[in-house]
Amino acid sequence: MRDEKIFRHGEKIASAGSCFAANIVPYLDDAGFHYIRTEQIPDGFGDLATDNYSYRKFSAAYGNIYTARQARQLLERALGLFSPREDRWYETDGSVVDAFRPGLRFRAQSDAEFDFITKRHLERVVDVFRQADVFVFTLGLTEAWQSTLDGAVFPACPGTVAGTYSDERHGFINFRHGEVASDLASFVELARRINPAIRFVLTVSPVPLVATATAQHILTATIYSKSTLRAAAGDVCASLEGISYFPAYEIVTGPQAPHDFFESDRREPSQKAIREVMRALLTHCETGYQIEPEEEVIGSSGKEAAPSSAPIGAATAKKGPASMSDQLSQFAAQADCEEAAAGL
Amino acid sequence: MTIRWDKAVFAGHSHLFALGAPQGYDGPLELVEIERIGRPIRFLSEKWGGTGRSPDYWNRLVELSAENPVAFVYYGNHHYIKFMFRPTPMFDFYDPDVPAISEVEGTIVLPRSLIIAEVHKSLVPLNILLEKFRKAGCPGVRVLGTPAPKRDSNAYRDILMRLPHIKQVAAAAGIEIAEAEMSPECVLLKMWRATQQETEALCLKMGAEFIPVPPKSLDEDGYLADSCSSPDDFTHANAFYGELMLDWFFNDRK
Repeated sequence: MRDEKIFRHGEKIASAGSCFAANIVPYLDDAGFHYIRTEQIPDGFGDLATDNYSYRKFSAAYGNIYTARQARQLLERALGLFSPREDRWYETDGSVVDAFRPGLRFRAQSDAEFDFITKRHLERVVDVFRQADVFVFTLGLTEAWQSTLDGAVFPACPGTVAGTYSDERHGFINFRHGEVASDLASFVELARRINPAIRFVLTVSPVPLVATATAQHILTATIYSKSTLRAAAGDVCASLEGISYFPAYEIVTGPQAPHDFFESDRREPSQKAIREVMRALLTHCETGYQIEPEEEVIGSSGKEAAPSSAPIGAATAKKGPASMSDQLSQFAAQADCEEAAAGL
Repeated sequence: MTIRWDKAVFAGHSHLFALGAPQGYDGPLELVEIERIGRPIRFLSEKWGGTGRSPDYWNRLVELSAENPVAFVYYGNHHYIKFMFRPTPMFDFYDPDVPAISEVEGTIVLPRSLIIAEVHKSLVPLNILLEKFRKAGCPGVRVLGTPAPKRDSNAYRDILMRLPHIKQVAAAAGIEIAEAEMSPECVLLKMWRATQQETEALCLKMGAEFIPVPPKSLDEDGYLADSCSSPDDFTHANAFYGELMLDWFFNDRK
């Protein structure tokens, strides 16, 4: 990696991406960086479980963003440049489902309410980019489901989490390298209309696909997807200023990675892997907070200490809100997520 | 069957005092008859500690309900307790009849269904109580609405500043009331409206009657009318409100 720091002291950081991306947030909090949150639920509602799918785990309540096209369209919508023709679904209970946030537990009950909620949500999305010094985007998938009317990309195939699938209105797409690179570049350009000085850090999620809508074997589909994303990220970093790549994917999946960097399902990165990713990241940041590598934690008997059972990001055994967010982030990362649904 | 509402037992939480219940009562748990709007009103009374009614109070009301219709006020300050001071971030939600917040940057919009879920949490004990009245064979149950919030939420801060014990508690918590930001009154109004609406829905489901606040107690935008506002109480209405409510209760509500 280059010598320049990924995050500098006092910088405001925002992020989005797939399920894996939610893991880094508690570490950023612990390391003293200001993680931007523009749609946090006020404390008075804190004991109401609001939703699955990480809507409240990122800088705004956009939920998991799996593809570069999704990210680009989110900003296009927020800037009033794109109004998807299919942005809502009507359920039999009268609720109105956000097609781009179908997992929200509490739904609008009318078109007027839906429009009110969505308008303010997109304003808060703009606030994220306005406030951020650095934006971290974790690329997850190349496979997606889109509207045949205008190409709007849904985070989950209609009919899986909500809505109804239609052969006429919906179609599958597996983004190719050129499309991903172009979408990323557009995403960056749109963000810099809001905040010209914003920097980006791109990563690729190491989580393999759980299913594929292509005719390929899941392993083949996974490697295609991750390779495409990695190459596109590399191209964009090479061609645009102020964008760097952080090798989370390589740390977890590279030949040097130990077997236990994945859980027994060979899909979920282990806590050990996440710690190592964050240790490497923070080593290249301006922070006094560091995570010790597990192999260096030796007890006085000379035997290797047992793996830390502390919550994510609690290397200094902090208590209070950071610990709670750690546990919630862990739960969110382990719960079924739309990435799985997207593969159905 | 005609219900003799003139024989009703009036009971409930602190909003009962505006109707005429003896706030300084220091006797045993019993019915106290007080004349209001030219009628004798029976209030179930116990010493008020400021923290709600005792289990004995509600048990006694259930006992009385076997032979008497019951009219009671239930809490009514939930929106103040949690949201009087501006939370971070400030929130808003959809109400077709109340404008949105316009003056607080960074306001997030919550789904109304989330607000309703929050309100329902506070109505669980009411649900239990209504069920008890039903099992006791109460001839008639009326749940009275509680006063709307004031138009100017800063008025709450002004009142708090005049209460020494409140300032003391705030100071101990590191809060400087003079600098505290209040939630916009439109949100408090929406919260109050949601609470009244959900209370009404619960009453309908449980076979009770909900008596909404009298229209004369509201100003043109639905806030507590000035005539009903107490200058020294930030969450309760005054005696004039109580008269309006009792008049509304006993007469034709059209």
